[in-house]
Amino acid sequence: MHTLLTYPFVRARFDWLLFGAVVLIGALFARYVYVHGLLLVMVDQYSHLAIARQVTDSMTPGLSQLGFWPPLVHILMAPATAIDVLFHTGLAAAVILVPILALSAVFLFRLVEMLTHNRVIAIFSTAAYVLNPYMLYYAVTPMSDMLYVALVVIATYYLAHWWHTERLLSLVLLGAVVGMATLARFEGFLLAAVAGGAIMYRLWQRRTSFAHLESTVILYGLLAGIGLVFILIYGWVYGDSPLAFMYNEWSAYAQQRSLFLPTEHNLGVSLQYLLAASKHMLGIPLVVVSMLSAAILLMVLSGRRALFSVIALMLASPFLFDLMALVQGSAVIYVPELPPFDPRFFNERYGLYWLGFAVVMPALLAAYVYERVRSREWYYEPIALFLSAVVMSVTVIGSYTHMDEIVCIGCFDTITNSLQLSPEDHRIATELLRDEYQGGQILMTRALHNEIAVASRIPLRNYILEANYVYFDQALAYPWLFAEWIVMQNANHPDASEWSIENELVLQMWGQDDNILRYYYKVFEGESVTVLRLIPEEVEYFVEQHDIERERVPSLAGREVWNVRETFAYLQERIEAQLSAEQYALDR
Amino acid sequence: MGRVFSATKRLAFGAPHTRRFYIVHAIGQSLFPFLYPKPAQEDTLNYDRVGDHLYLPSHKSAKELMQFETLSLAIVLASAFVLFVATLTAFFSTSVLVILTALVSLFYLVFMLFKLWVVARSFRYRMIDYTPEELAHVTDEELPVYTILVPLRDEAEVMEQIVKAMRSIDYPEDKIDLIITVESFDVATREAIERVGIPANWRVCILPDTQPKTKPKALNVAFREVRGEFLVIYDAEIIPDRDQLKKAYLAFREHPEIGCFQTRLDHYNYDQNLLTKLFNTEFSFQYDLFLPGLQSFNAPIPLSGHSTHFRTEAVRRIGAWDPYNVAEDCEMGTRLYCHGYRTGFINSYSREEAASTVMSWVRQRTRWMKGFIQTTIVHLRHPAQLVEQLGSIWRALVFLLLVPGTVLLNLLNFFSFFILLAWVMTGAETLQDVYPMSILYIASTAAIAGGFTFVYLNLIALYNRGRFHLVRYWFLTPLYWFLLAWATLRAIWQLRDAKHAHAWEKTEHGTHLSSSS
Repeated sequence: MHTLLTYPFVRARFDWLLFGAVVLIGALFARYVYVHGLLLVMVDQYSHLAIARQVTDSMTPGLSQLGFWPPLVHILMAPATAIDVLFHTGLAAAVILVPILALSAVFLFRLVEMLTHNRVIAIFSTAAYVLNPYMLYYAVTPMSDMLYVALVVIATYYLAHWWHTERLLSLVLLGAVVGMATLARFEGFLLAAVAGGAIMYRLWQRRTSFAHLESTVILYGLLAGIGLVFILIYGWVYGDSPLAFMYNEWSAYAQQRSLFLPTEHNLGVSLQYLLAASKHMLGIPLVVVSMLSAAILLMVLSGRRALFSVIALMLASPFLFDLMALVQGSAVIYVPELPPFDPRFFNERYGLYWLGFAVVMPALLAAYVYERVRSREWYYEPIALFLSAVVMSVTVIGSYTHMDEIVCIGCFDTITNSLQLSPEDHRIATELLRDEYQGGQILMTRALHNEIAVASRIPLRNYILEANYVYFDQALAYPWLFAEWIVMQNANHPDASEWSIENELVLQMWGQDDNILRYYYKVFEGESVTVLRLIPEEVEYFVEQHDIERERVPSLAGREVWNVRETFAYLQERIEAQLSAEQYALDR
Repeated sequence: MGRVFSATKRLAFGAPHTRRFYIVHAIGQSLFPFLYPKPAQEDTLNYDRVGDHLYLPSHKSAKELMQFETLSLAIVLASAFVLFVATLTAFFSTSVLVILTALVSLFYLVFMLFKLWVVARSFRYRMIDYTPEELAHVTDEELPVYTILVPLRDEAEVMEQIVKAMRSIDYPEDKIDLIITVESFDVATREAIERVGIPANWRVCILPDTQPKTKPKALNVAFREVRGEFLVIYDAEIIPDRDQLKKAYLAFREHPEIGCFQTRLDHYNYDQNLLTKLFNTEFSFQYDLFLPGLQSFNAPIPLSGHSTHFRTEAVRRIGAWDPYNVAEDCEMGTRLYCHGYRTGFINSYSREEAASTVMSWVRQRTRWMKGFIQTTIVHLRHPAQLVEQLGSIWRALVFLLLVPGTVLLNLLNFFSFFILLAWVMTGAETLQDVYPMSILYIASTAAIAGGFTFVYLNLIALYNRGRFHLVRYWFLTPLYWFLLAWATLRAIWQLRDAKHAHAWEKTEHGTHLSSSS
């Protein structure tokens, strides 16, 4: 293999060959997952896909549809989701994310090669990275996890490159990649801080002037901070508060308040849960070998401990962030073997985020062992080779057996047993709408929108959601004048979630109001979802009673969009005029 | 393009020398004179002219700015623009304001993309440079006479500095043909020359007391006395690199196709105050990231007013400078290009004094913008001819973006700033109606992404120059752009009459000396 890698043709084009190979693997894996019906199973997958589509297909298309999740995956998928077949099948994700996985594999290879000066070790490390089943799975489904891990790897490469060369371009690219990472997941905020700290430390170590250090940090920070600034401004513009992403009803904190939080305020338990999740995501061999490697290297490295520590921190930063989030109580993980001993998994994928650390640490140890041992006498070379091969083999074989277990044997148990699976009655509601929808707007909350949006095959501009702002507010006030259908949480079911009852606006407004059944009839009532359909005759009667021009009623005129100032003002004025007249008559 | 143009002309106007041809030609010439270039006999230079020392034909000068060609072109363009806007308004069934907003947003986007493209090219461009060893091999005998023109007015404060800087140039003294020009009424400067003392081979040229009293007129007066094979202009406050003349000589020798070499400019008083810091930030970008990019694809370069090295013969062939243009450097760069001369870039620094007070800076920038407008008007008197001379429609577009485009951008910035302020403070729906979604995205991309990108590029230029401590003032860049917009507005106002149009608001020099003492 060493000879093959040094062959001129291969050497000159290795990056492209590696990129192509990973794309091929990703494409084959996408087909495998699609054929097994695992491409779109979780609520979040549907949600990411729908948000991406809404950027182009909505009553109010544009950036306002991005919502309060870090938007990078939505922005990247938006062009692909505009193509119907890619949107409805979920393959839009694979089209965008598989090349990113391939790119990160190239950068991982370059990173390990730069640190170890050993191409063979770099290949093994990259193989372990690419062969992780969940890394592949999240590269073919619309989730942000693989995207984030990829950005961590690329950022780490540029940091290491800058560390060695102090080239301005590497610093700029580091800042840009970290900025993207902060737009991919909130874990990116810690990554930005770690990289910034590393830059400051390096320049302090080299005794550069304060002005030089300050200017370098500014150049880095202006790019790295883009994500944070975007999220704050977005929250200020669309959520009335820059910190809307932390505290509004869509935040993880709000959505998880009603759940059992075993890790809250407990570092030890948090660590236990996160390691358990890592075991499921990375496999025990990889977790053990990586942690042992890191510990050994920390003890034995003398000259390059600073660089090693920086690399380790960068790659482990997602683990540290999630650990802090677990302790704080804003994140939760469920695995079957720990309380509440639910057989279903929840947020176990947090254990995937430090995959970069898990594959790089053994590579560094293998390289260290190889160099130290062979440098003694020439006859130590085979011993050196053997020892480093053992380390790398454990890494790669560990990944492969994990792949085998999960993909071939277990067929993604963690996915099929997830707490985040799209509820069964969402599927029923989706099929119902797909079969019976014949036009008109559908008033519903975004929380229910996910599978229905993707699988019902109804254009998203026919939905009235909170993300449509004024349209939603107006439709919520008088649904029968604007919406042919209503989909809301079923408040009557005993298992209705606390979050829904507190935050689901359609439910709050009309869930307990029988008046709504004057204008709508129930088409479906499931465990979590109720679907209502308009009774046009009742609306006609209402319109007549209130002396409203029929053509100005969107639900009767079949209009998708209305003039938010004039139409609503007119309707409201007619309704209030009638109410005043009735009141007057009563008083008399 | 020439063949297509000729064929179109033939079709429209009839074959040459027919009656129809002459009738159409006569009508066309009276209504649309900008379509008809002046006959060759009107293009002659006159180096015997005294008074204003304008050697160019009048139609190539900014002396009478509003000539009939300009007026008729302006009317035609204005009419075409109104028709265009009216058509778009009817087609999109929207208001005129929305269309205008869309056009402005598109202009911003195009300008931003153009500048980014130029900057991207600059990273691959290598300036001409020579090692100390290569320079050491140049013998005094092979060096030609080199003319240095030093136009002075009210420069008594910096006389010592000028003389010291010029004397430190590494070039055989007997081969330096240095000419200092001084206004006849500038007694202080003349006394300072005498007090400081100059080498015997330097010449002082007292300028005639004629209008216009501008630097290019001074250069034209001195030009008649030039003896050197090459010439360079150094302003009063300039401190060039010692080896600059030798580098320029080697560059001219190795690149016979090049008529003029630009050098890199810098400020020696960049730390004097906040304004000089921001000014230096702008210069760093301009000379390290932007001009090299322009040079990389041989675009017409708006030259700097000093430290630009010329082949004397090239200057003579194109008619020297236009005494009436207050940005004679920019105009010269375009004219050189039109005459087939290319420019190059030498990696050599000339350091100047940055204007250190707001009014001094505003006056200087007003003059530059005024000169840009004059250059635009002069060169667009015969736009078809300009396209032909520049070589392609693309180069003509580059000229339009660089020269009038810069003026327009600054003007638009002025109004955009107030629109943005009004929207942030009031959130007025009227303003929101003028920015429908698609236009809002274009405008926001140009404003936010474009603004951020150019602030960032400024910082990269500073970082590359090692001016680390200036990077921290990045957030003040938009204020600097506002000052630029204000100066442009002032420039337009000054063009209202001939007196102010040709007025040279001189930049004050020597403030760095008083602040450092």
